[in-house]
Amino acid sequence: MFNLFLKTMYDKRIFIIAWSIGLAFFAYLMLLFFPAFKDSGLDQLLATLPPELKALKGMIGDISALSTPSGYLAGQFFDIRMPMFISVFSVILAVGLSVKDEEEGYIRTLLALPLSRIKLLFGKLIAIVVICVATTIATVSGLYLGALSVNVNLDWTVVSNLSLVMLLLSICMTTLVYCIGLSTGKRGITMGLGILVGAGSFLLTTFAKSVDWLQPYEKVSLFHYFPAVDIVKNGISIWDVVVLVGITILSILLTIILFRRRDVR
Amino acid sequence: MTIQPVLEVDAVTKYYGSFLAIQDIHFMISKGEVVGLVGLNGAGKTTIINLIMGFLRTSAGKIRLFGEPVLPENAHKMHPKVGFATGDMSLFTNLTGRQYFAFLKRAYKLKDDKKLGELCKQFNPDMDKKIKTLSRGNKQKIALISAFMSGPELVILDEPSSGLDPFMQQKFLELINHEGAKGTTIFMSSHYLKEVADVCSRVLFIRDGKLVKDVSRAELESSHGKAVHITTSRAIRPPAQSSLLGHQKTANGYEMSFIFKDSPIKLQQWLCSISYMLDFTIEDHDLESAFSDLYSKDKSEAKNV
Repeated sequence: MFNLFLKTMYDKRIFIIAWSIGLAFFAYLMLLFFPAFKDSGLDQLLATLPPELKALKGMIGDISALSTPSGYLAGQFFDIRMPMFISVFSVILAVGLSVKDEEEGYIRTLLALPLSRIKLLFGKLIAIVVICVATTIATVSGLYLGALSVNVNLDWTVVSNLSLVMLLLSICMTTLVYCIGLSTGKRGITMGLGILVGAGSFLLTTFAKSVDWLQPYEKVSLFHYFPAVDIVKNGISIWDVVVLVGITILSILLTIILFRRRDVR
Repeated sequence: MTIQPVLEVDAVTKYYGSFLAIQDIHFMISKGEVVGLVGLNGAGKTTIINLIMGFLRTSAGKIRLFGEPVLPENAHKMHPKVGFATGDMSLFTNLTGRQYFAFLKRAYKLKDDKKLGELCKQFNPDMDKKIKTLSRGNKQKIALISAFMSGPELVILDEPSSGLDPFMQQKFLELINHEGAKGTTIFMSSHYLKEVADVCSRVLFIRDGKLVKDVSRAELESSHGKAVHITTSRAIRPPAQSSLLGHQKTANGYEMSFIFKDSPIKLQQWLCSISYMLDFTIEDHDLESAFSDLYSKDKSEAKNV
């Protein structure tokens, strides 16, 4: 299993480097823009708007706390943009490690070895977790460099909390799509469901803030469990962690049952 | 005391959805046998091999390797004793040959490189280039080495020599002969009958998902002979030491085809004794002809190999 983990990390080295640099640079840029937002008075403007227009925050992010670095990062970086990136990241990584590997015959080659299907599942799953940790560390590093560049003091407890839940969300989404891929072996279903989970969560969470009838369904969205602005105010909710970890574990358990038994072509 | 077969395929059927890929396949392979599986493309050879390797689940019937039932969830337990390669094997193309063998060495928990060294010396693959940059022949050498490097008790090969040049194909056949002589059980599929006939002690013929023949090497060798097609004005019987391929009455007279397996002089004597002869042709009947006879759908089902 460790052998497979190392091989997977080696195979994905370009992906890890590219995404780490990309996310770090994006995080760095977001903090470079902070001084411009801090003094813009957008938050005061929002306070004067009627409630109907305040609902727009779902589309533009929460701008009620732009004057503090943590509020700015929560509303503009972690709340709407990072989940979008995580969705794309999850689908690409998970499809690559599951259905793409099966289509190219690599899963068959692995299964011809003295390697159980469960070990195959976990060998790659551990690689997914490590890749998610690596990209999260890169993102935090970008924030650190950005904070140094614009001479901003970040509340590192808040950044750690946000990063931790973001990490859980990325592991949860990637594991979910990876498990769909291993359980079905079908690219169309895996990509379709992966995009549905990512884009659906994004649309549901952003529009539910403006559309009343969507609000009861918003809990279906995975992004509901990464409430960045609430994390800044109240810390990590244990229920969000339980849901994200629960979905991850449930996906793995279902895959153990399905992937062990199905045909691999 | 009965000898436990290395491989037992017992009434195995496999459907892909509603498509029947193979039907009611039975055979056994004992330790030390070198068995070939021959059939046209799409006959079901790869399906049988994938079922034996545990990549697929049988729709009906059972497969046992070393006495243990093979299922997708437990096939890995038998794999330390099994080597596997295919003609279009998906090797890990991001690795070099050396890295690939190191990966396999860890997977098989091999302690020494002796066997690997011998095989590399024999096949001389390019070890230091990434596999994706190698020619098909070089990739195939790596696949074949990977099948034998762990010193397995059973080697399963699916169209193993495709991509090899004639020189390497000869080396591959020498390897099969060498391993077979050492007591390694080998099960290989191919559509090159000659390749199979050269190295296998037994050949299974598969057509349209059904096993149609299971013949020993001796039977295969006895299928050599002369294919005779004769037209006569009256119905006649074929000679002794022949296998009738078919006969019919046509506008030209009575036509009959048979394989004559005795000496050419006896065939000549028999032909001279036919008083009602209108026409005849004689051709060499080799293994390829036997294969064609078996797979020619226009001809009758009951053909002798």
